[in-house]
Amino acid sequence: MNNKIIDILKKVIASLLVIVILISFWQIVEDNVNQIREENKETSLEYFIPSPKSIMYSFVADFNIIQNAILSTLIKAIPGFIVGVFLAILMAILYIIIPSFRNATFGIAYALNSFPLVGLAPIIILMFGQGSFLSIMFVVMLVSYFPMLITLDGALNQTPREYIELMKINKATKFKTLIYARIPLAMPQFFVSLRLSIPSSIVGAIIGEWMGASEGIGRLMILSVYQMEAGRLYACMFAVAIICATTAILIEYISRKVLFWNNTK
Amino acid sequence: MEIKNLSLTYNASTINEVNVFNNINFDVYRNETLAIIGPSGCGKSSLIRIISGLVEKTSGSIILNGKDDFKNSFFGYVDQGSILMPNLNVFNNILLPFKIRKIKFNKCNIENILDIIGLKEATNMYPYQLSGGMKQRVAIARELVLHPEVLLLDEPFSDLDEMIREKLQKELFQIKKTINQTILIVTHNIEEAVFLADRIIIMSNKPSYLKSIINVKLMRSDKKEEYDIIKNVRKILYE
Repeated sequence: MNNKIIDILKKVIASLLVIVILISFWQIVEDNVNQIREENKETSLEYFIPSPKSIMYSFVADFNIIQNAILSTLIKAIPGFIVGVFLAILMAILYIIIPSFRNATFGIAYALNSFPLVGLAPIIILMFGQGSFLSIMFVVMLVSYFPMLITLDGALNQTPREYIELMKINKATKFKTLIYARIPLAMPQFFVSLRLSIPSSIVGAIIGEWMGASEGIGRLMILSVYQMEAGRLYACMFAVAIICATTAILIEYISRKVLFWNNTK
Repeated sequence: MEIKNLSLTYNASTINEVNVFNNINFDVYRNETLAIIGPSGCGKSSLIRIISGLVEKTSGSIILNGKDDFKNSFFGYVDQGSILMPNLNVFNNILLPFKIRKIKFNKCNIENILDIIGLKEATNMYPYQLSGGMKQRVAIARELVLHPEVLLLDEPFSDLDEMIREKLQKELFQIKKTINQTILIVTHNIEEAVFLADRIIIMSNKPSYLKSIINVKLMRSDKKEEYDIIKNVRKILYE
């Protein structure tokens, strides 16, 4: 076994160990607190903060419901995420090619980004209808668009002077400087932003569904709260965490393959 | 190439005005190596950057082959940073100017240059796999392959350790003999200047002027020892 695999295994085992310790601690504390509450004839804590055992039980028992809800959310979130990232890339490129366009609109982009998402909800509902496919997609697009635009704009504008001079010496146009220097050197930051955008876009989709969707993981979470199904609520969160972590690992893997040349160690 | 009355002033006519140099005049002959030395901050690098087109001159003119408009001419420029695109391998880094300028390239020419600089084995390697010396050789090769009118070198070996620097100096000396390239090199190292150059320009402190031009080639043909030439240059530089 080579050293690389041993290093990865070490990291995985260390992470699993921390998770097991935390979950065991949670279970022990919860069991003890519940025992005391039972002796005092108080309501079990399971109704408010379920134990890891109850969460796993709900996760297994409601697996099909959670799976369908997650799929329904992803069907809306993925197109929104792709459109948001694509628009951000397009806008960042336009900002480099036409600086006056950047000067005219970047302030507006910042101002729009500072609007709280929940505050925008009524406007989005009016525009696309309550809980519709388009309204959720629009929320996800907004959530992924601005951070990606701001990161890319920074990355494309922070190309080290020496590389710009290399292009200038070779009489490169703005477009060629963008293709041969700015974009390749901005790629590491693009992948970091991509990895960070995924959890926030799923959160965006969930918030979108809270506005009144008829299906999806956000809807299931709200239902679980109303039905006092704390175990299922936590199981939904657990499922969302698994999706986010898996996607982040996938993006990390792709970025390592694409950016093999970015050996900063 | 003729440099005529070249002057550089930063922030001209403002409170922060900095007069870097005034009325610099010299010629660069075809296929010669001309070194520029001078105290720190005297504007050696600015001078070479003006010639490369990276910095705007305040006044004066640069005449190449009798014309002061040389938009279609190519100057190779290498500084101490050995700037290579990290996402491209050695071959594609050397190919980069051809792609940017949309010039047809001859694979044999590139392979020939790689052979001259001793990097034929490293053709498919990426910059992160190269040492500082190798990177600098690739940067020089990338400029040489386009046969520039003048190869401008701005302290190209100053970031390298002593051993690598000496090795590269010898290699550059060999390249210059092999391909007859006009080279203008800025350095703060007197020994390097004497070893590589046919003539040396000595600049004064800021606001600098041209103190002296020493013909090293002539001194060598007069059987003057390298040590004496260095002593001579040092005397003029520090007086």
